Amino acid sequence: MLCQKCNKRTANIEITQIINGVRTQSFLCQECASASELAFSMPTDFNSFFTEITNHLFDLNSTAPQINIYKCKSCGLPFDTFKETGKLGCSDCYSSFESQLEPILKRLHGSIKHVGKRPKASQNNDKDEINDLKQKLQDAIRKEKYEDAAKYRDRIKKLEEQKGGEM
Amino acid sequence: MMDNWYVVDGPQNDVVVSSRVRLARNFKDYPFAPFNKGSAEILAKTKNIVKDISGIVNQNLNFVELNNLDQLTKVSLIEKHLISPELPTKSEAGLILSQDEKISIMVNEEDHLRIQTIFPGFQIDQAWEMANNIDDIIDEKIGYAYNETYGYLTSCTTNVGTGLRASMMVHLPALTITGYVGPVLENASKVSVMVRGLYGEGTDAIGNMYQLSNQITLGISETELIANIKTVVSKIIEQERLAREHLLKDKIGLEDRIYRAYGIVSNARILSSSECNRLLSDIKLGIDLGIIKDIRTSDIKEMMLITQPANLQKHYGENFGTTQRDVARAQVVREMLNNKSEN
Repeated sequence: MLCQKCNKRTANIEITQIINGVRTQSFLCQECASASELAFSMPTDFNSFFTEITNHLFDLNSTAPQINIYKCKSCGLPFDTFKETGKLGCSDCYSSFESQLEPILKRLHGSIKHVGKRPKASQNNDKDEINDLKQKLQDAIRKEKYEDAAKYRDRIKKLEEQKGGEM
Repeated sequence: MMDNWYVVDGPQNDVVVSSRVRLARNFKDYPFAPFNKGSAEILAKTKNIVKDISGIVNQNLNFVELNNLDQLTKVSLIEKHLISPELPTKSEAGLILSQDEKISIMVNEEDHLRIQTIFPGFQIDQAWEMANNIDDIIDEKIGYAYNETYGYLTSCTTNVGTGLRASMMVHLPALTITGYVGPVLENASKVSVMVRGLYGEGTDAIGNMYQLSNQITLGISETELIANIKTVVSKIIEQERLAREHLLKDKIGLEDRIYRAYGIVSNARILSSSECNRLLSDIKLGIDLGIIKDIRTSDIKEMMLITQPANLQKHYGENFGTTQRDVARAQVVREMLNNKSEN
C-alpha cells in the first residue's frame, strides 16, 4: 500500500486518531510520519533512546561491507539483544563485536581509543615489554639488522612516553 | 549524621551542594551482570578486601549485604545518593560504606563495582583523588576487566573507557525563577555535560536542584574530564549568581517570597513533599543572599534530607502513610527551626 500523503513510498506506519469520539486512520511512510507532528515521540528512557541511535547507525552502515558477528564467542550474547538492551554480556563482547561497536562508540564518545588511566597489570606488562624489546634491540644491533633495531627503538620510545605520562 | 557530607558546608556552598565521582569497574574473568552467575563470589571477594580499602582511606568501612536491610533503610540510602534506585533490585547486591558516608561502593549493580565518593560543595578534585586511591588498591587486589583499546570494560557502552562519571549537584533557584535555566543547561549539553534531576537518570529537578555530569567517558583522560566539568560548572555558578543579583533588584519582592516560605514552614501543620522542597529551596536562597540570618546552609541541607519520605520515617522510627508523613514532615521542620532559634 502506498503512503496516503506522498503517494510515492510504501506505507508502513498506521496512525489512529480519536478526536471528539471520531476515529480516523491514516497510513503513512516513514518520512511523512516523522514529518507529521502526530508521530513525534520523545524517548524519555535511555534504553529506547539508545536503541534508536544504534538502529540509525545500522541503517547508515547497511551499504558498507561489514563483518556481522551475531553472538559473543565467550558468553553467547546475541548482538540483537545488545541492540535492544544497550548492555553487553562480558569483556569478550568488546572484541567479538568490535567492528559493530565502533560506530556506536564513535557516536557516543566521539572516539574509539582509551587514553586515560591504566590498571597496574597493564603498566607492568609494559615494563616487561620494554625489557623484552630492549633485548631484541641489542640482538638486532649485534646482528647488524639496523632496520629492525630502529623499529624496536621507536616502540620502546612510545611505551616509555606512555609510562612517563602516568608518573 | 552531624558531620556527614550532606550536612557539612563545602566551598561555593551557595550554588554547589555536592561533588561526586563514580568509577565503574568489572572483575576480569566474570561475565557482566545480569548474565553473571558468579555474583555471590564477587560479593565475597569484595568483602575480603574491605580492610585493605579501609587502610588506604584511613577510615572504618561497613560492608552490607543489601538483602539484610529493610525497605525503609534501602530507600533512605537512595535519598542520600549513596546507592542508586537500581541496586536494591539486583541479586547479591552489596554496599561498602564509610562512617561519614563520603565513600560508598556498590557491588553487583550494573557493573560489578561502582566506586563512589561524595564531598560537600565544589570539591570534585578531592572526590576524584579519593576515588582514584580506592581504585588503585582494589586494582592491586583484584584483576579488572580492561583492554588497551577500549579501556576499563563496562556493561553499558556509555561508561566504557575511563568508567568515570564526575557530577556536581547545583542549586539554581534564580536561573529557574528568571526563566533562564533552560538555555543555560542547553548550553551545557552542547559541551557534553549532561543535566539530570535530583535522583539521576529520568528524574525531575526537585527543589531547583540539578545534577551536571560528563557525558563522554572514552577517548579523554580523567584529568581532562574533571577539568571540563569544573569549567562548565564554574560558568553555571557565575550565571546563577548573576541571576540572584538580578533578583535582588526587586529586593522587597524577593524578601516577600522568602519570608512567606519561612512563615509557612515554621507554622504549617501539613507539608507535602513537593511543597516542602519548593519552600526549602526558597529559604536556602534567602540564606545564600543573607536575607535569612538565623539559619545556616548546613541546617537547610539537613532539613532537605530529613524531609524526604524514607529519612523522615527513619527519623521518627516509624512507618507512616502519606497523610501521616505530611504531618510528620511539618513537625520535623518546625522542631528543627525552633532548635536553631533556641541555640
